[in-house]
Order: sequence, then C-alpha cells, then structure tokens
Amino acid sequence: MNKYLLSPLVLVSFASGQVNERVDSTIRALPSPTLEAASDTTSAGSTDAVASDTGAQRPLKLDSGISGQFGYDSRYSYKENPLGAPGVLDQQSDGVWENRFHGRAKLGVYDMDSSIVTPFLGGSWAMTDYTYKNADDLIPDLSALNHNTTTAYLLFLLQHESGWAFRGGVMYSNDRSTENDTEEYMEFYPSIGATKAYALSEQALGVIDASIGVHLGNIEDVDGPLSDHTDDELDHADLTASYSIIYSFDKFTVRPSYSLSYRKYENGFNSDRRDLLHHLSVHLDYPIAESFELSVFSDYSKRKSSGSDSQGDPYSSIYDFKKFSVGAGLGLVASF
Amino acid sequence: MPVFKLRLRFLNIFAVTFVAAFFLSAELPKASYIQGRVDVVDLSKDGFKPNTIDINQTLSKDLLVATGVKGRLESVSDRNYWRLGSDTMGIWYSNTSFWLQSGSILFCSQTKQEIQFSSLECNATFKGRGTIIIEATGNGGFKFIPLEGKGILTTAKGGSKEILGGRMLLVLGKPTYFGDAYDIDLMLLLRSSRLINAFPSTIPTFKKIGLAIYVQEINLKGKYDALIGDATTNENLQIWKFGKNTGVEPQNNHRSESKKGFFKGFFSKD
Repeated sequence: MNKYLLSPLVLVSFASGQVNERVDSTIRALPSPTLEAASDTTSAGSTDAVASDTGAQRPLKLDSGISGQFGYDSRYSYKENPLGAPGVLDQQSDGVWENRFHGRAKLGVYDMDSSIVTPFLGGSWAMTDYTYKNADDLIPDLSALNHNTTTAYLLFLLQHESGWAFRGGVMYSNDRSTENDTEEYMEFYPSIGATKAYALSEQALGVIDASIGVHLGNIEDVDGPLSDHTDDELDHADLTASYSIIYSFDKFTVRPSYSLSYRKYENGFNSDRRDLLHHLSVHLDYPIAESFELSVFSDYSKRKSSGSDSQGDPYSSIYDFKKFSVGAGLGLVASF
Repeated sequence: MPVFKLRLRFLNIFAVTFVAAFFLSAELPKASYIQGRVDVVDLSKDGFKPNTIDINQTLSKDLLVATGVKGRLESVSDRNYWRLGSDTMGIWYSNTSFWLQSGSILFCSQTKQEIQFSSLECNATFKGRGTIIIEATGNGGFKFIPLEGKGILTTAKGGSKEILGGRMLLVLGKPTYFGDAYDIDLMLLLRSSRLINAFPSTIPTFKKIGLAIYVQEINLKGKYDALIGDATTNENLQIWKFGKNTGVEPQNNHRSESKKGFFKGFFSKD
C-alpha cells in the first residue's frame, strides 16, 4: 500500500509533513558575487574605440567607499513536484509566484597586493505563493505551504590576481509560514567557496565554482519526542561543484549551468544519510532598460539518497525525487 | 718582483674598468625589439644625422630615439621594461630617466624603482613599481597613466600624489605641478592600446592589471560617453563626447552608462 493514503485526515497531515520535504529540497547557498559579475557582463559590450598607442581614455565615475544595491524581482513558474517530494507526490504540480526584495552593501575594497578583499553585507526577503488549485491533484491546494523566506549574510570575497576568486561567509536563513505566521525553519550556513571564470570564445565565458559548507538548522519537530525525528535532523554538510557557461549575443545572455552536490546528514532520523543532488538549469536574460531585466528560466533537479533509517528502510524511498520548473520573471536593481 | 707588481696593478685596473663598464652598460637600456622604422641621432656628433637603429644597440644619453608612423621599440632589462610607441621621440638618460619629446611610452617594473620622467616643460619623479603609460601633451607636459602599481609621483610645485591603477594624472607647467586627475576605463584602454597589444611579448604585470580592472569594476558607478584627448594648454583638456547617433562630437555634457562586467571584457580576445 502506498504510504500516502488519500483520506481527508492524511491529507491534513500532508501540509505539515511536506514542510519538512520542501525545506529539505530547497537549495540555500551564499551568493557568489563573482558569478554575478560574470553574468552582468553580457547585456552590452564595451564601447569599441579606434586603437592608438596609448589607447582610448574614457572617464569613469567610481566610488571606492561603502556602496550598495537594492533590487526587486518577481517571477512566475510552473513547477512539477514543487515540494521536492518522493512517491506519488511527485505528480503534484503548481504555479508558483515568487517575489523577492534583496539588497547588498559593499563594505570597502582592501588591496592585499596580489589580491583584493571585499566584504559584503546582504540580505533578502522573499514571498513564495502556490497559486494553482487543481482538484485532481493529491493536494488540491498547496497555498497552506505559502511562506516567506528571510536571509542575511556576511561575505568576504577575495579576488586573486590568478583569476580565482575565493569567498567565505555565513548566511542566516529563515522560513515563516504565511498562513500561520510561525517559523517553519531557520539555519545558519557557514561556507567557503572558489570561483574561476575564463574565456571560451569571443562571446562565451566558462565559470567553475566549488563550495563547501555546513547547514546548522532547526525545524519544527512535528512528531514530538516519541519518534526518531529531531529538530536538527536536516543539519548537513555539503560539497558542491558547478560549471556554467555564460554566452552572450546581441543583448541576450544565456547561462546553462550544472551543479553536483554531495550532502552528508548525521542527526536524528537522518543519521547515516547521504545525498547526491544534480541540478541542471538554463537562464535567458534580456535587459529591457538600464536596471530592468527580463529572464526566462528552466531547471531540473534530481536527488538520490543512500543509507537507511533506524527501521532499516532505505532513505531512497523517502528522499529520492525529481523536479522540474519553467518560468519567467522581471528584475529591477538600483545602485547607490 | 717589480714585474709582478706591475702585472698586479694592471690586473686591478683591468678588473675595476671591466666591472665599471659592466655596471654602466647595465644601467643603459638596449633595443631588444624593433618594429617598423626606428632611427637614432647621435647628439654628441656634429650635424643632425639620423641612422637606423640596430637590434641590441645601447640607448645612451647621447642618442635621440625617434620612431616612425608604424615604428615601435622595446627594451627589456632585468628590472625594467620599456616600450616606445609610434611617432615618438625621446632620450634615455639612463635606465631610470627618460625624456619624452612627443608620442607615448610604456614603462613597467615589478620591483620598486625611482624613475624620472621628463618632457619639454615638465619633470616628475616616480618612486614605486607598476605599469605606466606616459603620453606627451601639446602643452609640453604629459599624461601619467598607471595601469597598475604602487608608489608616489612627485613634482616640484605640486608635491606628491599616490598613484592608483586607472587614475590618470595630468603633469603640467614649469615648475611642474599636477592638473586634474581622471579615472579612466582600464579595460577599454587595455583593448585599444598598441603599447600593450602591438608587441609580440606580453608584459609581465598583466595579472596585476587584471586586478586593477577588477577594482574599477566593483567601484564602478557609471561611464561617461566621452573620450579624453590632448591637453593643448595648461587650462584646456580636450574631451570628446560620443553618442549612439551622433558619432564623435566635442563635449557638451556627459551621460553615464550602466555598469558593465569585468570578466567578459577582460577575457575577450580582441
């Protein structure tokens, strides 16, 4: 018998149980300013100037002190298995509307001779709404899982003259249920990473990125003390490697990317759990105006879990999933 | 015994002369790469008679070096890297002192140096290391354009200024002082400069220039649709405005352009 019975009682319990799976399938990572900078390059080429011995001297407006940027983006996507759930729930699909305000301050630029260190302080506030109701779905209305996500981070970026950029920092993340106004999950995520961009051709850059970090979180223990579940069972270390290509033509930028993440869990119900998460995505960006961008995106994720719980049941039956999304969005950024 | 002493004295004189000659010649740059027409005029001789420069010719303080329309010259020594652009005329008084009559030069050093740059009217001393382009201006001064580096530039009347990658300093007047400073687009300069790109070898500080471009990128607020031209007088600096529809026009006003990326331009091959 399938573990998900279609009785009303079980359906009610889905909502709380699926928070765990939604949180567990969410990718949380410190931003990589280097990757963002590489992506920013594509919308318009540099002004070409006639060659001369000295070279063209175009004046710039620079600000070497504290500066920042603030942005808003809104995107709507069709998501198959938006909760990242296994079994019959992976047939669930929904239209998901995400609105996000984000900001970042650059706290100076420090010259270390062969490298440049830049501290960043940033954060975001995002609203995620499940908008589609379908009576044929196992859970006809996912709006009970609507939530707001708050993040804040401190990040140190070291750009070395070799072209490698190293980053280290800590991010705080928090999910609150919109419906119940309760905290569903919070975590601290200290991590370090390295990025290198290099030219593939006139129009294309290849970007290699690797990071390692530890998610130290707290999730509501819905089963109480009577089960193996604990509020720290989603804690895990992750090791992620990714490769992206940033290709520009006219004003468009296409960015296909693949990442592979190895995750190791140690606590509670998840002790002895190991995950491999594959993530494939493609973004197409088009700048409508100076600080206004249109994006079309699609991504596919697949998770394979290994190990078994205290009952001897393999984690793969609980945690393996595939999910897919396609959507579009608009982004607005202002610098100050 | 007297014969032995005589030989010893002769050997001593020979050794001292040899060592002195070695160090003196080490202080003078040599033409290690020549492209197009490059002439030298020996000013110690009567008459102004240009001769074609020879490869590995020592560029002494008596030699006025002049490059033609497509002529270029490079001098690489252990410590210093010099490049002369086309239509350039100047004299190396030593490996640490250059007089620029017209045109432009590139100087590059990875170790701390004290270099004197002079022109028809001006004189400035640079203490530090870096990659620097010097361009003579119509007012007899010069533009001092550090692509990267650390150090100070000192003038008689203007005092000292710390150099910064991409910050162009105007050096003017007699006694010499500083004019305005301009942050200029290093990426564009790098891509359009023949002093960088028209030579077969790569300058050794290219990675540091990349870092200076990175610093500009993260501090960038905007780019002006204008190009800086010649300083025809001490009061007038030509600034040429360009626009999408108008081509190049004299300056009227400035319009900033949105921030562009670091990596794409830096890693582009042109």
